[in-house]
Amino acid sequence: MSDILKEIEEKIATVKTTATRRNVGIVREVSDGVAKIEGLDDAMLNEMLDFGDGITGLALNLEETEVGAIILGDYTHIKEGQEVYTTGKLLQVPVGMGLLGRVVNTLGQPLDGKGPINYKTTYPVEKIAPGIIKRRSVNQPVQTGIMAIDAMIPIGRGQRELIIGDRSTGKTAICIDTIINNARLNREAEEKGDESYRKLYCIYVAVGQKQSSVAQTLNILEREGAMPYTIVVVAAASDSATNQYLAPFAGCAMGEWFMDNGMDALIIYDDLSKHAVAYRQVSLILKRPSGREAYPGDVFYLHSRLLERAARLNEKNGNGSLTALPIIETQLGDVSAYIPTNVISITDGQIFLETDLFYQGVRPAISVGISVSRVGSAAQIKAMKQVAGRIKLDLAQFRELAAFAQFGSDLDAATQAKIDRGKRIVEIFKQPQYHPVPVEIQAAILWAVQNGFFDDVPVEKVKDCQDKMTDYLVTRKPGLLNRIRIEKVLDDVTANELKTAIKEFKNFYK
Amino acid sequence: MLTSKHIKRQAQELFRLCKVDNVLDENRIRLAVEELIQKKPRGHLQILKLFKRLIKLEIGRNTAIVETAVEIDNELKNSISENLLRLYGKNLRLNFITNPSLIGGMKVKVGSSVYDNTIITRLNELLEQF
Repeated sequence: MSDILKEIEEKIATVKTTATRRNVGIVREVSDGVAKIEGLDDAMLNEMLDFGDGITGLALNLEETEVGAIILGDYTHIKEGQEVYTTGKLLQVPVGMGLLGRVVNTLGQPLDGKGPINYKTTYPVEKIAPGIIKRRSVNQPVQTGIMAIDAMIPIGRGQRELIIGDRSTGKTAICIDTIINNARLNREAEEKGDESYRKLYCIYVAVGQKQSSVAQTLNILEREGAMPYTIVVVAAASDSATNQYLAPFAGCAMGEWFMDNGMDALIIYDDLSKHAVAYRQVSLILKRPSGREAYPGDVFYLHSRLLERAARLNEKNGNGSLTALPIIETQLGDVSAYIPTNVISITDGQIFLETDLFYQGVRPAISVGISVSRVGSAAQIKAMKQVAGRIKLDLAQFRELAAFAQFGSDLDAATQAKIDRGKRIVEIFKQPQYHPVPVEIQAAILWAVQNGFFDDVPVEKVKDCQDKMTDYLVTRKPGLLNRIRIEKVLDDVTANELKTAIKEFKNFYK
Repeated sequence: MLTSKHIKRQAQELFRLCKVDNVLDENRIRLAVEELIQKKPRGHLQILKLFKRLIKLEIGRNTAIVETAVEIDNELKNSISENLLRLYGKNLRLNFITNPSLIGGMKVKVGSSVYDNTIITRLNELLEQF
């Protein structure tokens, strides 16, 4: 027994209580979620700071005698003279499959009352975007389920497509529809056991929105069964500007995990105008020099480094992708304002929504003339390319001719035909909210338009005809639609079959 | 107009001039303050405030505060002084404080670095884990 006591004593003698070296600073002033801290000589940029009581901060300004830090959490308990410690860590958020179906805040903490989040990995909020060696060009489509977008402004996986427009023109609706459509595709692939289908997970980042709007969006996503494939990151209007500034980066880190693990993800930043405003507030309180419209000089870099993280990786690097759909709200359609021009120049195209079109009943109110997708056509499936190739041109010609036609009634037959075709295309592209259209139906309908099957239908009945034609094809010709979906091309045999099917339908359609 | 940038620059210049061999010279500091008060250049009060802050920070950087729960004997004090002077240079000033709230152990603060081996800190760390 005495041996064991000796043994323990020897072990105790070898144990050394080492003092830990920490870097400390003293809060000099605190206001509006920003603290100025004296000391902290070893603080790194973007390092997390420990204010005690579970409150953390982020070092953003490293100055000669002090550190400017934003506080994450409740800053009202922080007092002058309080000690602050460095942690040696960068701000990290939980990532992984456990976040799917959850609503989280900027720090990845749950807001939905469904208990703690199950995660094994964390990712830093700020990360350098993948370099050119890791990337490849866009070649797989994101099916939004919105005919006008999938046909004319296609989006590829890994692309950054801006959605821009005035208030209440349907910007969020487009994104919600995209989430719903992809959830439907994911579910269908799961049910069929189709392992070749690459699921697209969605991350919706709500920045500076009303809690009621976020709740409404969540209800829709729940109702349509999209939540199991979706992560919602919320930094609502009542959250601090620091949380609003960090939310898109946190969401992006969550999306990057899918990309790094060979999966596909889609991230929606709703919206970056409010994000820029939050960043402006943080910067002004930090006393950074302000530039145009009082935004700090690095507001371009803020958005470019965020959007640059959306990428399509090549096969060697896992073949994953992160597609970004940033939203920008314009004031009275002014796309030449500071933030809109910045984000337009960063992204690979934009979908411009017009108030006038919206109130004319053209919904989604996409202005085809100034909406472009610079890389998306490479990702479009062949069937869509075949039928949609000329649609954008037809529609652009229609807009031009329609303006002329207002002044005179005598038009030659060719012009009249173009106007008639244009009117029908506009009708075809009208689509109710939360009703995404599968790509095979889109291809079939557009094929019918291209081949003049709608020319004898009165304009006001085009939508009705389209709906009935869709019902007919879905109920009577599922095999044909299935073939278009699988083969992704309209060859002669399929085209003939489609022709016969549509003729059959037209025979009894009145 | 004298901007805050000018004031900052002047205070920093004054601070630099008060150093001899990278160590603050008390006589020069006194002289600088007296001159400023007498000649009253534009923004002298703000310059003085900033100057004072820079000196305060410099003193803080070169002062070691050794906190213990109980009074320590001279032998231990000498040993601590020796070690700290070796680490931070001979210009380091030492200040020994007794702070019973630490319960036990020792805390040494030099500039913004803290070496903490006190019982109260360990107890707090333990508390945070629960």
